[in-house]
Amino acid sequence: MNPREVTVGIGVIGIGVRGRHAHEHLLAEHPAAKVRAVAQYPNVTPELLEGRGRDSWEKHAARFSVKLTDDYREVLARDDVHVISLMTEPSLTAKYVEEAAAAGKHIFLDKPMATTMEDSERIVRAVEASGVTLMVAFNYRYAFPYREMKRRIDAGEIGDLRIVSVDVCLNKGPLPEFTASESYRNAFGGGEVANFGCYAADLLLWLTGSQPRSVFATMATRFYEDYRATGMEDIGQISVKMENGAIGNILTGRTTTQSPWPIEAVEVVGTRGFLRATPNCTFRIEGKQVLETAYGTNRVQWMAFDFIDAVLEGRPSPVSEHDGLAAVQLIAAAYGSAETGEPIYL
Amino acid sequence: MGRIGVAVIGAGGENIATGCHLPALKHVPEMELRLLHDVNEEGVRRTAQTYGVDWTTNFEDVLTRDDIDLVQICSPDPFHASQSVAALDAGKHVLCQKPLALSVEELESMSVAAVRSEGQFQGCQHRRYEAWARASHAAIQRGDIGEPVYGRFQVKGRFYPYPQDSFYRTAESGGQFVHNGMHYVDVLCYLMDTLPVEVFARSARHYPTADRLESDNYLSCMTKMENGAQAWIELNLMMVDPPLTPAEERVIIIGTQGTLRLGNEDNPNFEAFTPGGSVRTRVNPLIHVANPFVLQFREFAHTILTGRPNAIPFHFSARVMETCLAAVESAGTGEPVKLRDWLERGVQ
Ligand SMILES: NC(=O)c1ccc[n+]([C@@H]2O[C@H](COP(=O)([O-])OP(=O)(O)OC[C@H]3O[C@@H](n4cnc5c(N)ncnc54)[C@H](O)[C@@H]3O)[C@@H](O)[C@H]2O)c1
Repeated sequence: MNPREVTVGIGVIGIGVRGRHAHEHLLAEHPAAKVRAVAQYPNVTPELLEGRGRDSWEKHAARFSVKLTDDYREVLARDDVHVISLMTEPSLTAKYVEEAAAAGKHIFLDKPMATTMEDSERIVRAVEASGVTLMVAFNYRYAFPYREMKRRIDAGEIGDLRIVSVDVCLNKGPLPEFTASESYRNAFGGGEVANFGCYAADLLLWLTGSQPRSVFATMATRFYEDYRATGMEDIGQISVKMENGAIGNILTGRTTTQSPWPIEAVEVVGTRGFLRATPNCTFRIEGKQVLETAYGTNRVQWMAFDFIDAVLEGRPSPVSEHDGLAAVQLIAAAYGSAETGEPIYL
Repeated sequence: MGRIGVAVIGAGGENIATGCHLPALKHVPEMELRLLHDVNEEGVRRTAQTYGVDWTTNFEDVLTRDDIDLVQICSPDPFHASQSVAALDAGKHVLCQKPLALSVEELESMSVAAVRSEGQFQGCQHRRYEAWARASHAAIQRGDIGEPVYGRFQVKGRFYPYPQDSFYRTAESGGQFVHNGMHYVDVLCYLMDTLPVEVFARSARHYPTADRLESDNYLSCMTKMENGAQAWIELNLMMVDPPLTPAEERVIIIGTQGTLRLGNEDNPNFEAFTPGGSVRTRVNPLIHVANPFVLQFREFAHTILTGRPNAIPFHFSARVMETCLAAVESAGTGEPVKLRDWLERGVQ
């Protein structure tokens, strides 16, 4: 396909159920892409809508100069829709991925991919059977310092990987309209460890290129009353031993701090060097500084473009359903460990 | 008691006793140096000449002299527990260098001695007296960041090239987390005002050259704290930095209302983000407003002289030490380790 001539039609399924989070406007920024249809899915868990209703869905559709489609199946049936921007609650993604894949649509899916391993396996099977491209929105991979880290690790610049430590801890508390609820927890498969920990898990898995062998985690609810009332954790730490011998350390959660910066950092220690990336990064190999930079790229935009390009070029998915499943597996093990107080062996 | 009569153990070489304890004592008006001990006769005699005090190579002399009230133990690690017990049993106060003990059994024997002794005990946990630690502690006590719920102390550096025949190279020493871990665990517990109840750790090793210790030189230790907080201590001595590159230290304390970050890396800094606004200052933790040894000695002197509560009670130090021992055990077995309540054993 020639990107200059072919337009990638985007269909949206799911509006405003993950806060106001969406990807279609980013996908539509691609010169070859255009949103052609927008639909809500039926039986949305009401708490997830945070009081927003049909009005806001119509407004969302109007943003892309289309009318709200009443039935999502009409979106799947359209020949001029090639890609589904899927933003349903994670506990329901498997069903919609199956339907979209069966309709031959490529899928751009928010994280976490699913709430259970069973659902993750269903997604993997559906994508494999149909041959479509599915990408999970692990946008941290597109932050320049982490990408640069990955390139240098893969090029062998720091020798064998021994330690990978990842912090993905948000600041400034939950979004204004958000209230923790049993329904949220069920729909998302947990609290902030599922929500942000999956980014950290993906970075760990991606950077090490290895599988987790043993997982130990502790979690707590320390910041928010509504989280406490529903038994939803807001902070946690995870210790991972990877198959290749590397040790992974994860801190994740959602803090109240008014610091303008989230607590976000990745550190990688290899047998020949050390890479640390935060909003600023320091790379040192054999004791010599090789890179110091500030990070300015819009990682979410870059990720969306990479997906459209992958679809146009017929490249494999940059962050596939297998990556999505691996992150779900690690996070599920973390919950298992936190619950039992024991390490979980995979 | 007028001034506190002090004996310093291990004062026969160029070491922590002669490099830190003896110089600090000059600035502690409540204490008077009276006796030095070491197994190295020539060394201890020379130091004694410099300071104009008595010396001995017989530890019994330290215990039997009535004018010795406080024994500062700066001998090598394997002697800390037995010398502490002997001094406590002789009714002396004890200030013991880290690590307090090389095993939980040794810690037990110290706790028994601490309970039956009239003497007060303190571990030499001087890092909490460094300016940055005291400033952070004060900010947390004021409530600037609310209640601390997560704490982290990360250290990255090259392993210390001990002489080839050094005990600290052997597996028997317990490795670097036993030897030095107390510093980091203590500072975190002090800042967060709580102690670990459970420890899970992993360790690894990488020595860039043929020069190596028998133990792992990386340890990552996650803990659950008594008050429900979580903490992480990482001692990474696998770094491939040029020799003599100072170790990097980073501390984060996350509170219910804000965070505090400290670091001594390229840009030594102290950042506090609180509901009242943010502060960002440069505090070089290596440049002390006041010498931390002097501060600890003076505070301990007040406890000894006035009966004021011990600022670092034995049960606190014991749990800190046990955390380090448990971390090494956990890294070996792959299982979490629950810690004892030393307070229950009657030790204050
Ligand atoms: N708090 C700190 O920052 C800090 C710093 C350095 C050392 N230390 C601790 O202090 C202790 C001493 O460390 P160092 O670097 O000064 O060691 P060192 O080996 O240089 O000095 C120890 C001294 O003790 C003497 N000695 C050996 N066996 C003895 C015994 N049975 N009784 C009395 N003296 C004996 C030695 O002759 C030597 O003079 C160690 O346990 C170490 O962990 C603490």
